[in-house]
Amino acid sequence: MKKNWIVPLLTFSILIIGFEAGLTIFGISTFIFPKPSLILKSLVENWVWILSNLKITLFEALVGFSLSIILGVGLSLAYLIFPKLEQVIVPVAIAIRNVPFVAIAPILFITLGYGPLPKIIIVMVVSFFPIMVNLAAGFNSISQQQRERFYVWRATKWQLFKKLQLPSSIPYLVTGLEIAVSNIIIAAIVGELLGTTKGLGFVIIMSVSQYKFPLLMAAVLITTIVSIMLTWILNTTTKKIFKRWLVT
Amino acid sequence: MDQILELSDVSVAFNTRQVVQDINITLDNGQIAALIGPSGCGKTTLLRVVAGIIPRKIPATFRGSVSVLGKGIDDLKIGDLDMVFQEGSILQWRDAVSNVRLPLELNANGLSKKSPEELLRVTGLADFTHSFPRELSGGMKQRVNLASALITGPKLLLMDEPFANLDSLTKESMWQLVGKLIEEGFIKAALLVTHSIEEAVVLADTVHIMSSQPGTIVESMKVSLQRPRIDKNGLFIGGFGDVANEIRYVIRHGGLR
Repeated sequence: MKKNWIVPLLTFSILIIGFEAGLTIFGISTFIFPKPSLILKSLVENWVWILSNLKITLFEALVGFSLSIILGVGLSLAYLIFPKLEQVIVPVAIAIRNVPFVAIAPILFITLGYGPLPKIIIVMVVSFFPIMVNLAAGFNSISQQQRERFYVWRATKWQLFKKLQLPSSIPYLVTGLEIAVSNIIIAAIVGELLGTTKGLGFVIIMSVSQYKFPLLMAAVLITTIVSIMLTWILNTTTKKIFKRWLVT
Repeated sequence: MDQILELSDVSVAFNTRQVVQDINITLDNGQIAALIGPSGCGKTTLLRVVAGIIPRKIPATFRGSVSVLGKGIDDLKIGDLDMVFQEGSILQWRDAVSNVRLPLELNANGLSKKSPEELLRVTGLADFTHSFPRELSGGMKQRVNLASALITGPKLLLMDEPFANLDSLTKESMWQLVGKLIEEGFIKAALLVTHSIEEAVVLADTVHIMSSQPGTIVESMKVSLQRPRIDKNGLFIGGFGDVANEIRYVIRHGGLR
């Protein structure tokens, strides 16, 4: 376990030192790429402000993610129970998923205001889809043999679901959640970039307009770290909660 | 109830393709019947007809009549019959004993006279009660499968090439196990679908030899060898080879010598 950390840590250390040295030696302007030491300095100086904006972004991302779990699970259950609905739900979901939300965001802001709601909706649009399709694939992943075994026992639909389809679908659900969670911070920030005065997206917009590139990179750094951490937290918790169903 | 199973003039077609035609099989209590024949002769289809899967779950054109325990397929309950499939149908997230118990969790209240632990002991898995499928070999998994198919005390056991995926030595020990289960009354009557002539001769009282396209029974042969047909040293008993060869001849030439 410990060894797993050494190589990535070393890689990043070398990268950071390399950047610092390279940018210094070749005298590259902060406006092109700020030195890691300047980014760190800016991060420390603006820590409180970045943190308070991070909280807002995190709130939007997590609320959106939670709602998209409800939506994704709900929709896939809906067309598991009523198979005819699949032909209604899936095409609409694909359409929504593929609407360039950058383009419709201004409409969302006009109708829903500049608060967290439009960002939450953008997060949902991005993340409900992988949850829905993966879970549905999980429900369908049971083999014909297993289905026939349950039929021979004259199991009810509910028993088939509870004892076979639901447990079989858990690895698929976890995959869907992992895909979804990796995009929620980015989706929330894009929403903020398009219209807000709060959140990490706003920090990014502000620092660009004021040419504070070290601050911009600090915000990007925090965004990346938080996104990775969310994925990691989801990974470890689902592995713990669903341990029994994840082994093959 | 002496007669367990009766198929009369059963024909099944998928779309326009006739799979089996005019099949007549009867099976009495205490008897084991084997269906043997080339791939695609419809023997698995027949098994699924008895289980009620065809035409209830898999649409097909069906003619003829099937009665199990004197009842129509729609009147069957859990515990009337059960089915052993090929490897891979036990649930990965349940340990051996809980896999065996699964049918009882459905709607079999008070049906079983056997405990899951006892069935695991009989099938030679006493030390693996709480092992998960990933910790078990292919043969052990099929033992779990067998135990779980017997937990409801079915009056008819259907076996669909149950040992086809096992290596030949494991297969032979599975035959011995099934022989023991028949002897001790755990298996009361069974219909076995197989590709293996040896398997049919070791286990069956009657071997129905099928030809394909469409599947018909070309010959039904009684196997009157004494049981068990594998002796204490693990060898086939005398006369075994002759019976196997007779069956082999029918399969090759479409009729008796």
